[in-house]
Amino acid sequence: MAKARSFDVRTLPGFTAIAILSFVLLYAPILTLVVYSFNGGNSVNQWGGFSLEWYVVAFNNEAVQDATARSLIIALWASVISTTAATMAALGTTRRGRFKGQTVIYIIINQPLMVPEIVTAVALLIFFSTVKVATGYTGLGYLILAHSAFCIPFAYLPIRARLEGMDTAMETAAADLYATPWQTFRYITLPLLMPGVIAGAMLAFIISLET
Amino acid sequence: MKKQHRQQRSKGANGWLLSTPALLLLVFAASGPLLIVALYSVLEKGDYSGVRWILSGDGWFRVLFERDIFDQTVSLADANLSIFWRSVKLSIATTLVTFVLGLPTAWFIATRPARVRAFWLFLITIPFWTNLLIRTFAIMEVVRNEGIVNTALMKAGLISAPIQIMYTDTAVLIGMAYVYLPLMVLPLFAAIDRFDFRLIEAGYDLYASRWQVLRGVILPIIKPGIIAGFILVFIPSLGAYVTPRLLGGGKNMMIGNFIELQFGQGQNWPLGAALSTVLLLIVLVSRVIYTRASSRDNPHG
Amino acid sequence: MQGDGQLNSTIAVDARNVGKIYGNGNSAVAALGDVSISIQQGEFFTLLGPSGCGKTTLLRCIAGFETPTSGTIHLSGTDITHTPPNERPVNTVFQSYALFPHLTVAQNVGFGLKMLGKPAGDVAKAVARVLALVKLETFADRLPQQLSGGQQQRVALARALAPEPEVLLLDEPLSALDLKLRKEMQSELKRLQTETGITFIFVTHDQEEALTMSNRIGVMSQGALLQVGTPHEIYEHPVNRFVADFIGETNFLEGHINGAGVRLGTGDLLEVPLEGPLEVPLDGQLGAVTLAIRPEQIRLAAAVTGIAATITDATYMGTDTHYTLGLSDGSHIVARVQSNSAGTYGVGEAVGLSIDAKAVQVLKA
Repeated sequence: MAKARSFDVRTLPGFTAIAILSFVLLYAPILTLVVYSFNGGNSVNQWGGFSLEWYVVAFNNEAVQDATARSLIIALWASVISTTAATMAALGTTRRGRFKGQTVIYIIINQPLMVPEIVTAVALLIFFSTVKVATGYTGLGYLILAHSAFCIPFAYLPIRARLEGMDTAMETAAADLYATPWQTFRYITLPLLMPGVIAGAMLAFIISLET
Repeated sequence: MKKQHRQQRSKGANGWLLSTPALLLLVFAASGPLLIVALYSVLEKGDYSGVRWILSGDGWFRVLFERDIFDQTVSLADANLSIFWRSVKLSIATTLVTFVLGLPTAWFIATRPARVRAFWLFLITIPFWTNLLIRTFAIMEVVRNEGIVNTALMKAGLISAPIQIMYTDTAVLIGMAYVYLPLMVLPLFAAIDRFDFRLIEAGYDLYASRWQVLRGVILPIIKPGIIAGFILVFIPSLGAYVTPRLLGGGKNMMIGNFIELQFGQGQNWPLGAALSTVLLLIVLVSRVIYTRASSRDNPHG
Repeated sequence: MQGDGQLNSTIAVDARNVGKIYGNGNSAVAALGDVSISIQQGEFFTLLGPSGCGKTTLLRCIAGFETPTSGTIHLSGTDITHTPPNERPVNTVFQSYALFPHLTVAQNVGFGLKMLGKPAGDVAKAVARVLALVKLETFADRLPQQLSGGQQQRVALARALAPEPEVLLLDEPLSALDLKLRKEMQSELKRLQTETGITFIFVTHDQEEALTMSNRIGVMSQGALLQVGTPHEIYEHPVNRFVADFIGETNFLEGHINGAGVRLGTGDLLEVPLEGPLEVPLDGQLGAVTLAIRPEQIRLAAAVTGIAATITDATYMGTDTHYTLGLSDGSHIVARVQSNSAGTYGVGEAVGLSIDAKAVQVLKA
């Protein structure tokens, strides 16, 4: 006898199977790599027992340490700068209705997302070599600026999404209750926006570390 | 009346003012370098690397044509064209593979109970935050001759010699699909998450089969998400260079590797800059098509 | 109109020729066209009309969220047309409540006073007082999402009352509540208004709500103010067909003025009083008019006396029964009869109906 099952409109044939396959495909390679990184042996083919040796080697390598510290400093600064700039831009482009030039702002902000990575890499290579030739400066400053610019759209998108999901009635109510525009931002908009800002900053930080 | 206009103008002024820091940064560190790339593409190649500051169309000329070293005859650069063609082909294939895997995955996540939905979504994004190199090495472990797949198949006795996957287009396709799958799932999820499931009930109520509901109701409504996913996967696939280099080896180049090659020692920077500009133009055109398509669907959005 | 200037001291809100146009050029939409209204100090005034009639736009102009395209708004004699909302001694209870989700009930209620720079001690005292007024003392430390809809409504009310505004604006505040809770809040609002003596301007599309709560009602349609008056005036003497139709149920019968009364299409003569605030030509000419007749003002009799009619539909509604009646000229009217009165009639039965002529309103055709 067939078991009585309710008809679930949310299931489509084969979808769940493919979805689970996708997750397996996504994680199997990474898990393999993680497992092999604990491998005591030298070859990935032979399992030489569990070992943290390769991590110790990596951490003791001065070049690795320096590079890690450098990346962290750049990522920290880039996330702070890009999140601040992105929050301001998000406030400027969402909370005050449509205005002329809004599309131009969107295009410029999203530009790093639209440009393929090789073009960005080439552009920065040429740019930095030109700057180096012109000024002789090779400090972190340029890298931080470049990373900040590249991270802006990643910080901007979650912040804007949060702002758009926020009821403008909140700000209207604050203004009705004698809050000045700055007080409205300080006591209402910013606290409500915080999850978006944090998400944006984390995204920017991760993106900066990755590049 | 005048007051009204002033208010509207100040709205716009405020919007620009607040956006200024972001715009300055982006124009200086993102748009500026792109313009320099365009400039480099019309300069003359330097002796070892770099450029000489003399105007020249040679970079652009060499995108499509080559000049014989001996008799100076001009012919189409077959090698370049085949690289372009392979890049486009592989990028389209990558987009389709990620869609076939990504749509059910996004659907699966969007239909989980609200409590655990964030967890599944997080699971999709973790690989995305893992370094690209690490992910590519991970996929190498899987497809290598001595990798998991071949080892497992041989142990199972299904094959006697390893199947050569590494350094083929298939390897590049697998690698890129693996790397870019999250980029397809995320916009699809966003679209399905907003989807009103009562519409499916209405579809079934009006005698549609599951397949008809998928084709006639679900896909048209989540179309903006599908287009977004296609763009998000297609663009980086076209410009990919790390994954094709590691998985495709030196022979099966994509545009990205070819451009990269031009910036090596003693190579042709103007040609590389011209190729970069071409790539950028392809991306811009697909972007315009996307904007057109999505604004036609949703004239008020 | 009534003694200009002389009454100014007791007028809380005075809107003069207020107009509001959205957009410009061809896409311009007039939300308000030349509305003038004076609202007395301490009054419970209701703006009533269907959605899109401009009542909320007018309210938002008074609150300062919209700037009128033309005209001026005075608050207690001061021109506030261009004053930003945070500088107006006016508070709003929003339709969606707009409670700040990250602040507790007490912080929400104290927000306005804090922004006004009042010392923390005074704020706390005022918050306690207002929360007691809306009977929410025990909920001070909760977050808005931990409250029921009715409680959130009270917090929104308390928050707007705490700074003791000159005028309280209420934008359909009860529309999200279920019927029972809405009835409770109606009397609660009335009580608060009497206790605080604050001028209330209440916006609603619910005519029953407007009739039961207000001192005066302003009926709006398509950006224009059609009639201002007490609930009694509005119900008994609507100035035009829209008001008569919008407030309560009304039958409309066409007719012509004929000497002592109005001759109906059926040939019957109704001796209606041709006086009062009527917009009809009363010079004795044969003017076409429309008669507005409330269903409860029609009486039925089994004997064929008065106007002859046939029952075409009967609906039992509990205390009342609604009869739809066909007249000899083909028009239909509805009569409401108490269910336990004299008799019941079946569909198809011929009856005679009589109309209380004094209660009939004569309107422009």
